[in-house]
Amino acid sequence: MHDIINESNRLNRRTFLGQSAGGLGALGLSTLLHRTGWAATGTQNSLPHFAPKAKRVIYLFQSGAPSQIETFDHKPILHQRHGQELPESIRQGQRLTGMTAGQSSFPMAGSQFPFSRHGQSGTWFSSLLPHTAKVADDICVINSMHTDAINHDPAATLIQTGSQFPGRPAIGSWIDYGLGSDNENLPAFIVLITKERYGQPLYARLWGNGFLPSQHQGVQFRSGKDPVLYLNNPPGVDFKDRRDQLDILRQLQERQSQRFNDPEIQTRIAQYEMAFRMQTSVPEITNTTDEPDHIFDLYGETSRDSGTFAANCLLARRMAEKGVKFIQLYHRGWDQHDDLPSGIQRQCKDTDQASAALITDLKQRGMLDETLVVWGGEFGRTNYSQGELTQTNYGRDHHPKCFSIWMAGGGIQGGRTYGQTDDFSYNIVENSVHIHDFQATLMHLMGIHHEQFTFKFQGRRFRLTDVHGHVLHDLMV
Amino acid sequence: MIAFDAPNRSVCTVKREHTNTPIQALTLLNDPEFMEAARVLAQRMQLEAGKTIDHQLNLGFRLLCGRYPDATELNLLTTLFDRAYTKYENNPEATNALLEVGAYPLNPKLDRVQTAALTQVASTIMNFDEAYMKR
Repeated sequence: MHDIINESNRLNRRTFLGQSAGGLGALGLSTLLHRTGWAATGTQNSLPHFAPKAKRVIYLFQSGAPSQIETFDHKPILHQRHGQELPESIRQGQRLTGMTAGQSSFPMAGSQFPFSRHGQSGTWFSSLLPHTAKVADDICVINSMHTDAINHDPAATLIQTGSQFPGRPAIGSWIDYGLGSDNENLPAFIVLITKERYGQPLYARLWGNGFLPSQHQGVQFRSGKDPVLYLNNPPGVDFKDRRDQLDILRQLQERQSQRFNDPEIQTRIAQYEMAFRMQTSVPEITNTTDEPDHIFDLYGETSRDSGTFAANCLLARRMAEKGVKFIQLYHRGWDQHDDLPSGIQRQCKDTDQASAALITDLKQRGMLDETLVVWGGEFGRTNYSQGELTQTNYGRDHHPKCFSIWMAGGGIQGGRTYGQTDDFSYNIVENSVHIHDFQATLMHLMGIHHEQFTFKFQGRRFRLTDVHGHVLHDLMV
Repeated sequence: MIAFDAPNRSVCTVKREHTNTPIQALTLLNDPEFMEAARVLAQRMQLEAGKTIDHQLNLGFRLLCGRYPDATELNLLTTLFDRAYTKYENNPEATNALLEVGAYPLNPKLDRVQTAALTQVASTIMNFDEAYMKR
């Protein structure tokens, strides 16, 4: 029944567009086609469901899974018992990955990096995160994250899309679909990947729209001097020529849409209009020459080098200022199966200063309250060493049963440490936070009731959190 | 090919991911390689389809879409061609700039304004759904 109603609505809309195509200006038409998310359709479920605390999200995804033991989860016992066997009472027969399941010994490894308390809150940080430690009172460290997956791809897919199986919409796509855009001239969901940091592959489906209309997929900017290529018209083609061209093209595509009933064609029309507007809006964002030196100093020297994590953090702030709703960064290289001490030093050096700078910068612009910032990977790492353990060197395998992330701004209480693991950073003993709980909380901060926000596909109503997820009201301001 | 989310060839892929982004539109509209292809196609339309504009547009459309345009489509393309022709007729600098895109030699026997205007039309057809979507 609903399908029939949907179909008739679609036909009505098409008839309307067909009849009015000549009368409406191109801009008005493209607005109609493109940015009217769910929010504007005026249904009884119109979004947001309630007043949002956050207007946008900047998600600093640390791909490869940073070790919680060298960063946020302070475990002196691991240090004291460095080299001793992991007690079976802790592991409790947990299934390990093929990378360490065959090891005859599981020697515990303590962090090589000392911990200390910071801020008025006294949050623990390792010495690898001196800058993040300075914003201790603005962030909430969650040490009790856990996930269902033990390998990178399903775990990253789970935390980004709510399912270990590929094909579901990314969080950013749900947000884009549900809330629409605050800026007609830019995609609402933009993806930035650090250059020259390799590791686990990143697939477009991590920022894919899944079954949602494809205009809601994340738009990946390149990491380099030109984040978007081909923004300029070809030589000899001016603004008016392009407009003429797109107007004719749109009419051709509209007829095509009637012929095939393929929603992808409507998306394509919208994406061509977006491309047209991005030709002016993107350079305004990516040209950072108007930033003063003290801002580059804040984010660190590498922020002057396009495509680095620091430069992407700065871009993220500029996008946030322009109303981009979901800005997804990826920084790879956290998969320290061996040589963890040197590897994680490099990774923290890449990310620590700029992540903290982003918090400071948003705060000084009065934007932190309305911008949710998330920092974290897809799972944690084992407390025992993968491969040979020496006094100064070791590796860590994947560990899904606990890991640490932090959240800040956008309605999250700063200066908190939430959740607790056992003395070995192996199991959670207090306030566990599943991936779905994290997602439900993120949705809640954006003004969305995660249980009511669904999309019908193949006869079933899907949601980001499937049938799970508890909102962590306790973390909110 | 990153813009089109082509799989990395180091691993096997059962199915291409379906993507549809403004980045792809920008590439097809503005990448010099595609503009060069549009210009060369504009030359071919003149060389192989005779003098009348209808025949030229028909050929260009058929080469890109595998069928002839219907009356409405041809009408739209003609409108675009006329606008482009008027523009390039009155703006030799723009004509020169457009015709210089790409390395493929320009055929000196062909009318420059006609080639420029047809290039604009060819580029438009190359961006038409049916020209690059497999359905």
